Order: sequence, then structure tokens, then C-alpha cells
Amino acid sequence: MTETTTAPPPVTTPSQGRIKDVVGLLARLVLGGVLLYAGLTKVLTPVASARAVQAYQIFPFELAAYIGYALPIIEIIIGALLVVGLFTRASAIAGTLLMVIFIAGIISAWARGLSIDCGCFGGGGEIAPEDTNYPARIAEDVGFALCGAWLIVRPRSLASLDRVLFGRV
Amino acid sequence: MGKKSAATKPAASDRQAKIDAAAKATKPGANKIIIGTVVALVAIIAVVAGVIIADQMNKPDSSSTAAALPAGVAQMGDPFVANADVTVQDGAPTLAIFEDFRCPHCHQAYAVFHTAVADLASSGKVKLEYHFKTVIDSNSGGSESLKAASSAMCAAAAGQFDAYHQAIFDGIVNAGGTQPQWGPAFFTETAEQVGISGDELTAFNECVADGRYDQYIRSVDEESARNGVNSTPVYQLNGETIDFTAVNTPELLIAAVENATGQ
Repeated sequence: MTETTTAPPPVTTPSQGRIKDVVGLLARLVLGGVLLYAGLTKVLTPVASARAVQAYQIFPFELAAYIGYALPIIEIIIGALLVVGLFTRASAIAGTLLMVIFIAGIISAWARGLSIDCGCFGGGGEIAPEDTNYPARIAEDVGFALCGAWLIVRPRSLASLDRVLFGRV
Repeated sequence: MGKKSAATKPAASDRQAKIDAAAKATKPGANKIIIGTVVALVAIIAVVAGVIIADQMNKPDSSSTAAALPAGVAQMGDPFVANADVTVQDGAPTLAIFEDFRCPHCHQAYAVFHTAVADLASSGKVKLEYHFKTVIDSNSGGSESLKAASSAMCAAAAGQFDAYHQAIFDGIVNAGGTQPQWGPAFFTETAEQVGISGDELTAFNECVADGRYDQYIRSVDEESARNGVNSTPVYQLNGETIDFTAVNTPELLIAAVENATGQ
């Protein structure tokens, strides 16, 4: 392909580390920001959140309600931890796990032919079949999961509480 | 996490803790275990408290004044039959309308179909069921959808359901979709407008103030969600959801009803 004769040296120069720290910061802000936003849009309307989870028809009705009540709060907590960069790796694992679960839920709804809003940022429930946008939602969530994956592999990032409180991690 | 566990082992004594603290003061590094425990505890408390609060908010009011069933409704969750006084023809289908008083699309669907629905119901060509939902309350907050539907059941107790429901929906449609100032004053005004007066009006106002049918309306919203109806408006003929992209005129609704008759 486009490879030339000289391979780049394997050593990581300080500036490369710096760039990766910035990437880590962006990954934190993107995944954390979207979780925080998603949680805030839903946390004050718990019944709607419960209905959105119920609309997936995956969990028993009552259990789905409790998941719907808890989910926005969990999203806010993980999102906030990622935004400030506290326990980055653990938060990234949790955030990525959430995204994987969301992707699985959307694929499941899609495969079963349900016409529902993903309920990602409020809303939720049954909608017209032409209004569903499962592929776009899945693509978004995959992107967010990739941000999480980066942070799991390399939790170090610029301007994180981890660094302020615990020094270099 | 856990990488620094050697440096953050729980101190064996106060003295040891002081030594640790002094050692730490020279280099950056707070106690990860303590901060982690605090964060985890706060997170757990927030989630548990949030779930309990949400659950309580959605729990039916246990006071007996808020737990009445409208006339003709056998149990919580069942729909309100709007034409119970009409003899329904043999083989006539059930037309179920899932509706929210505050939902703009419900007002639009009403504007298109209402005349046909009223004719079908009064002539006994359908059994007309209303399932009042509170989607807007759930999505946008507030309790006006609940209170409006509950007040319609109070009007039903005075024998004026149809007129009351029609007055509110016509009012919104005629105002170009602008919604009224929902609340007891508006409900009373509408009740008077449809001819509820005297003792009946007093009873109506008490019924609204008590939220007598609130629990019933909540149960209908929950039951319909359980059956997969999570949005409004939904019109169903014998349980089959009508596709509004295909059935978009009163004539087509009447044709759909005729198709479903005798099945």
C-alpha cells in the first residue's frame, strides 16, 4: 500500500504522549458528555424513562420500570465521572458497557420489527416505522463505545481529576 | 484502579495514618480507596433514592377518594366505553382510541375523524372505547394530561362525557392547536358550557378537586403501556392498530370499520 522504506521509530516521544492525552480528554468529553446529557434529559421524567425501557419489551414490565428509573441517574454519575476524569478507567468500562447494552437493545428491537424511539435522550415509545433510525443510533453508540475503549486501554488524559488527585496514573 | 494499592493500604493505627499522610504530602496522590468508596457510596445512594422517589411518584394515591372507577368500568386498567348507552349492532367491531388531552397529534386526529367516530358510535356501528393516556405528562412533566382525563371521567359521572370531551377538543382545534390554561377553573368552565349545573356542578368540582379518577387514569396508561401502546394517538379496530398513513380520511375510517364488521 502506501508504506515507504522507513518505518516510524517505535519509541513514543513526549509530544506523541501529549497528543494521546488530548485524545483521551476528547474521548472523556464525548462519552461523558453524551451520557451526562442523556441522563439529564430523562432524570426529571422517570415515568417516560420507564415507558421507554418498557417499549423495548425485553425485560418484564415491572423490572423495566425500575431500570427506567435508575438508568438516567447511572448515566449522570458515569458521565460526570468521565467529564471530570475521576476513576477514568473504571468509568470508561461502565460507560462502554452501557453503550454495548444500548446497541444490543436497539439491534434486538430492530430485529423483532418493533417501531420504537430509542428513548436515548428522552422520548421513547412507539413511533411510525419510517421515523425509526436504528442504523444511525447504532452507529452513534458504536462511536461512543470506541471512545470508551480508548480510555479503557489508555485512561491517561489531559486535565483529569485522576492526575490532580492521584498524580500520574 | 488498584494499581496504587501498596501505597494506600489501610493504616493500622492513627500514628501510621499520620506517617502515611506526611509521606503523601511530599508527592501528589490522595487516598484512592477512600475517594473511590465515597464516590461508590454516593452513586449507590443516588440510584436507590432516585428509584424509590420515582416509584413513589408513580404509585397510585392510596386515599379512597382517588380510587373510584367510572360507571361501566369493571376494573382498573379497563377502557371507558363512550357509547355504553347505545345498543351496539351485531358483529360491530370495537374502536379503541388511545388519546392524551394534551397531545397535538391527538387533536389533529380528532379534527379529521371525530365526526365519523361520533356517527359510528351513536349508530352502534362500533363499540367506542377511550383509553386515556398521560404520555405528555410522562415526557414533558406536569400532570395536566392526567387531570384533564380525570375531569372527563367526572363529566361522565354527570352524564356529559361526550359533550365535555368534544368541547375541549373542539376548543383546541378551533384555536388552531393552542391549548387552554389547564386546571380546575378551565374544567369548571367547560362543565358549565356543556350544561352541567347546580348540584351536579358542585359534585363535578368536588370530583376534580379530589382527583377522584386519577388512579383509574394512571391504571389505564399503565395497562396500555403493558399492551405495547406507548404513544398517542392510536386508533385500534378489534385490537388492530389503524395505519394513519393509509387511513387518513373519515370515509376511509368508515370503510375500515365496515371491513372489520362481522369478523
